[in-house]
Amino acid sequence: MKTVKKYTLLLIIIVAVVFVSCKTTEQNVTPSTSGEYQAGVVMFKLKDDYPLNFSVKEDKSIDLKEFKFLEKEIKKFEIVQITRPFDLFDDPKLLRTFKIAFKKEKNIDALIDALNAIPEIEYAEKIPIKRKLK
Amino acid sequence: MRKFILLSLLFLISICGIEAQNVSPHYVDGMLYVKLTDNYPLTFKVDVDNGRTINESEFPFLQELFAKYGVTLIAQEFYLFDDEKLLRTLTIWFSEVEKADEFIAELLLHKEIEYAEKPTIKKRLFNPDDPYYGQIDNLNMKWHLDMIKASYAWDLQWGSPTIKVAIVDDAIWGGHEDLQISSNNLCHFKKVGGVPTATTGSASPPSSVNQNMTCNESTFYTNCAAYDWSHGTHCAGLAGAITNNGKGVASIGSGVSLMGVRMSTDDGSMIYYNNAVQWAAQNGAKVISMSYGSPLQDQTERQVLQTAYNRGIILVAAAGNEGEESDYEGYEPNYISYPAGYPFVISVASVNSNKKLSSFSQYGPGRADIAAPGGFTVINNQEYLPNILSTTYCKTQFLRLTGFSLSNVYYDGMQGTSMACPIVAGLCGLLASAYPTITPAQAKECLQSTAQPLASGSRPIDGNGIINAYSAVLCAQELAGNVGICDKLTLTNQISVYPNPAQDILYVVSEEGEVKKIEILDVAGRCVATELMPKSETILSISNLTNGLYLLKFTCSNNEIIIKKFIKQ
Repeated sequence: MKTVKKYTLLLIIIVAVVFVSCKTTEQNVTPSTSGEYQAGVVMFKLKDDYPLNFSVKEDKSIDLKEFKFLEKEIKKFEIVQITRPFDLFDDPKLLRTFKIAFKKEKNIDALIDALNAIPEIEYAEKIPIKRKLK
Repeated sequence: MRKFILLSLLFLISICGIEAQNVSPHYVDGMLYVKLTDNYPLTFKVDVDNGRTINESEFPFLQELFAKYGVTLIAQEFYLFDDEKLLRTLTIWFSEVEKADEFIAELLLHKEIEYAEKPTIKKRLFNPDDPYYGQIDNLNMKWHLDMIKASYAWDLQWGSPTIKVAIVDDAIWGGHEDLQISSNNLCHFKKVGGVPTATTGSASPPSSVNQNMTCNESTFYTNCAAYDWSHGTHCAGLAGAITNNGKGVASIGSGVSLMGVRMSTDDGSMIYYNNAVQWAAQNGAKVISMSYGSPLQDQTERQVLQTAYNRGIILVAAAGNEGEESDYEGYEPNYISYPAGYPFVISVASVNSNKKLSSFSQYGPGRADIAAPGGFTVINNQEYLPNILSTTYCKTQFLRLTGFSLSNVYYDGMQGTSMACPIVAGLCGLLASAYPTITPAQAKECLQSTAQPLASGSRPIDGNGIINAYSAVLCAQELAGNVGICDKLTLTNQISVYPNPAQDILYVVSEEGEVKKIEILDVAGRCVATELMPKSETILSISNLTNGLYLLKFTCSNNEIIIKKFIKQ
């Protein structure tokens, strides 16, 4: 009976840990920025003369290997995905605009600084969260 | 008997022919009101026993013109209380009906005449049968539509189903009885493999929200999810709720095709705004209404919107509700909100029923280009309900809790620049219905150049004031060439044009840098010559023009449009 209680307690702890970790990855705020930016994602834009010769998959994601100049940041900030979300009217600026999803959410400002220091990148920025105006 | 019927029909047809308006849809053909200057002696003889007619010979200085334009009758129709101005206002009937503008221009060359004008045709104002287009509890629930002269505008133009007006918002219940948005025009975003992916068919709030919940006074402000999730549905109704369907409310843009694009996640975070704008633009939106904002701008948003603008899509956004206090740490009140703050977006402030900016509304340069109703009814400087009534996802909460008899229906009141924004977007839908290729810049110009002034004492905005739907639609119709004459636009004395009439050369004198473009339009509104960046004194060669009346359209450095007329002879 004691063993059953022990396992039940362990199970509760595991569920709680899983729940808390899920909640953490789900959150939309970054403590360092007053909760007004999306967590775990940033945008960056390549310079206008950067060749558009990378391949974009149907789900808009791009193989991380296409971005050789990001190798260091991919490891350091645990970048898990790069997508090209916007292709409106094939605008050449939007076709060079990418979204990065990364795990080290608390280091978002350091990631932005690192990206902005890369010569191929025109700018990198956090993504604001909008509010209703009623 | 057959002969009698035929003769009767012929008689009716001939009567109709006499009364028909063949030249102008807006003015009475073959008739002018002419006002003599106030010092013109009242010595002309009026035949009071014969319809107050006046013999042409009483005005010898006009004999030549009377003959030229076939004047058939002159009368002093108006003599109310022997008002001296009315006694000098004459009605002139003439046969050269197609030359009315030319006749007016020539009359105005005489110093004895203060003004000459075509009488406008009044129409029975369209009065929709929607039950809430009227009063509830003896209070005017349509004050926002009255203020912008919606019923006058509907007489001119109805929304076209080929024009799509997109509402990008938290969520939109497309199945509302007063919206009925086609499933192809509804979209939300779901993460597929971590990537937000557009999914058509619905833009409704998450299924976890109990649409039929009833909130009480204590829970309304803290836990009334169905009302909170009604924002986008409310905005959609203001832009284009179905009008004259015997249900609910009327809307300024009724007849356009609404699109509902949900940009919130299930937890309510408004993060898919760029994806939502892109989807709307890719799927045919002509107008995009954005009742959201933040003081934080991002270059990606700027580029998405710029790309849409460059394709002729009219972008409208709410100016923000933090005119007096800021909820954003580090930002002073009345900050510039984005997307409203981008220069290619029409930013909309909110006014109350007294035509003053709502206290909450952002104001001033860079914050708002135009204003529209979005606030409260004001009596003796006090704000009262109703605010703005429209469609909702929830059953009536706010107005029920504040004592209105409205309840158990999917309509409710809200206020904010969020509400002003879709009213302007709906009007832009009407402008595009009148002129489908209207550019965003032209739409903004029509809104601003025809605006009603804000009441004195109001906080200012960049533009001229509050939208005037009737005049703005007229402006779009003129751009489309449907009317041809820009009589409704401002005439000023800031610019001199001489000689008039002119033969080969026309001189235009203005302040240095005041005018950035001069266009010569014919009476059908077609541009026949253009002069860019004119000097303070510009010489226009008009020798190639055929004789007749022309319009000079001046685009000033502040984008104000001034129209003047001249005669080429």
